[in-house]
Amino acid sequence: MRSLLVIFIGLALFLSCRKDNVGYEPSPYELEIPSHFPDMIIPKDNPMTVEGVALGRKLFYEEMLSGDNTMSCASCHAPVNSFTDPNQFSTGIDGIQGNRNSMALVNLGWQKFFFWDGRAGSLEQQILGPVPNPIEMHQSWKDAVAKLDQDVNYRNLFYKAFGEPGIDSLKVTKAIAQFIRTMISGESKYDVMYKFENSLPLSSNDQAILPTVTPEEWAGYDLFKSLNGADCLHCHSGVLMHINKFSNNGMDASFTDPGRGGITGNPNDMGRFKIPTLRNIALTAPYMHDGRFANLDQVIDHYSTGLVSSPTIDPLMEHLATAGVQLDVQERDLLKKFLMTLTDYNFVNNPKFQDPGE
Amino acid sequence: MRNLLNIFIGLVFFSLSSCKEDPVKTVPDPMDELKVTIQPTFGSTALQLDQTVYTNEGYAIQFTDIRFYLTSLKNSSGKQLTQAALFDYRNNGTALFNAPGKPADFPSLLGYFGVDSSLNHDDPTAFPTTNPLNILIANDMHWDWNPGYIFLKIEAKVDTLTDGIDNFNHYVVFHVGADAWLQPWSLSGITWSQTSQYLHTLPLKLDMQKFLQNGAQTIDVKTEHSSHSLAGEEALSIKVIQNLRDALSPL
Repeated sequence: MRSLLVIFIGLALFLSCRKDNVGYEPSPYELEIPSHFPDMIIPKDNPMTVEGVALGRKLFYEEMLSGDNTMSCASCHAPVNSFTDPNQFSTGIDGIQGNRNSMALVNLGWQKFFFWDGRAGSLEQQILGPVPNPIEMHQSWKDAVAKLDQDVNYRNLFYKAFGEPGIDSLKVTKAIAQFIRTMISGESKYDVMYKFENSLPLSSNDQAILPTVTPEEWAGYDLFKSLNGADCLHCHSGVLMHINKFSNNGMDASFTDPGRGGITGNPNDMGRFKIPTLRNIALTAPYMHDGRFANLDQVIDHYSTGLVSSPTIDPLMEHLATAGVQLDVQERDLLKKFLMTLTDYNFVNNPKFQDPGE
Repeated sequence: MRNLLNIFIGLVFFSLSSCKEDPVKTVPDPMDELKVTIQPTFGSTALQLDQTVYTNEGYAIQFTDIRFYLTSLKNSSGKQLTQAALFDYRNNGTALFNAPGKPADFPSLLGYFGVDSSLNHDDPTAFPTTNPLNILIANDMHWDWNPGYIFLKIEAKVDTLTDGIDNFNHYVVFHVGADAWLQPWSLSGITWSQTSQYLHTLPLKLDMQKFLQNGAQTIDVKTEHSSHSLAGEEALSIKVIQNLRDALSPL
């Protein structure tokens, strides 16, 4: 009897001191933030973990998230196109096209709102959208989660990432958001120019790149920043090459797409769209919210001679009276050469961002 | 046997409760806090962005953006209240800043209208992410590092034709920065209003009518409508920042 009592007491003590979530020991993920970038603000309810990022990467390429198992996030955000779609409009699983160009996924961890109209206030919220969207992946989250839940590998991966059994849409979006936050581009030729210009330390690799920056690229950079040149800096500057703002950049006199105005209902927001980053711009054609410009030459032409007035045009389109900044042929060429320096092949080809396969 | 059972039950109960971790007390000690707000007005009337008001010249004007920095705010003894504050009416409403501090320590405030030159050329990515000088908060209030921050942005749409027809196609863009335009700013005899046990508030107003008509220092938006602090814009740049500074006063 006494030995039985000892066993019971030992068992009770063992049970009482057991930790919750046995086996949940996620490894913190250390983001590789370039030295000249600001810190990234990570949501407190979705800390970065190695397990979460790995799961998010797998889910990013997961075609089960679409109704007919043919489409993943990467279908419209392909690595080879700097994580965007080379088509003017993406086509969903039912063959229906949207009316806005797919946005490039780069440095999204520093952005404050998402989609061209900014209707999502967080990356997690943005990721909730495309799965049930009838013109995109067209599948209820309930069905998407049920498919994932059939896969024992996913059940384990979710458990490792979140420390509890079960899969739901929130966990899917959190994992994909973690992966997307790792997609940092900061190794273009422009980054070396930026660091050099601002007397920041250059790595040995930077020092090797610096002499390859041509006089034409420097001249294009000067034009880019000049108020009396290309006047791009109002909306595209700094390491992120964009600002957090909605703008009507003078493309239409009236609007078939209300843009931000469709979300806020404010007449002053009609025809305004999120200002995108210019990073990897040479790889992300076509351009503008509706993908109307097939190449950079057309974009430069627009700002040079194609501005159109409308009641909500951004006051910073200060050359509206002359329909644009009036760049000549040589200046257009210099500006384009500078825009090419924003390409970061290390980012696009980074194996950590590719399809992990099975 | 019954004694043994009672002992056993007691031990189980003890063991189940003994190893529970006490919840960590995370409630910090109360701290005195000072809050400064700014209500834009046009004369004596509260002003909203995009609202139509009329200048002394009779022009209809709609302000679309009102932003500016105050920096290095200290008391007369040099005790700092906050390093930097950004007023951004569109995105933050009337809030300017909250900072730890006791009202008795700050009967006056001295600092700069604009960004102190000791901060103006620092790396905008290196400030803490909660600091208004961090590029993530500064956003487009910064020119690519040098010459530094844009001290103020006033943007507006104006109808300069007094014909009764709305036609707001004349734009006003004042972006003033650069060390040469930094202005000292001070406020004395401050009366902090107690708004809760540990919070005291100083409400200020920014009179945009005074901004346009600051005594003899008038801005005629029909002819003086653009400044980016470039060479050749000196006279307007200094007038813009001085007028805006002078438009800021206790509510």
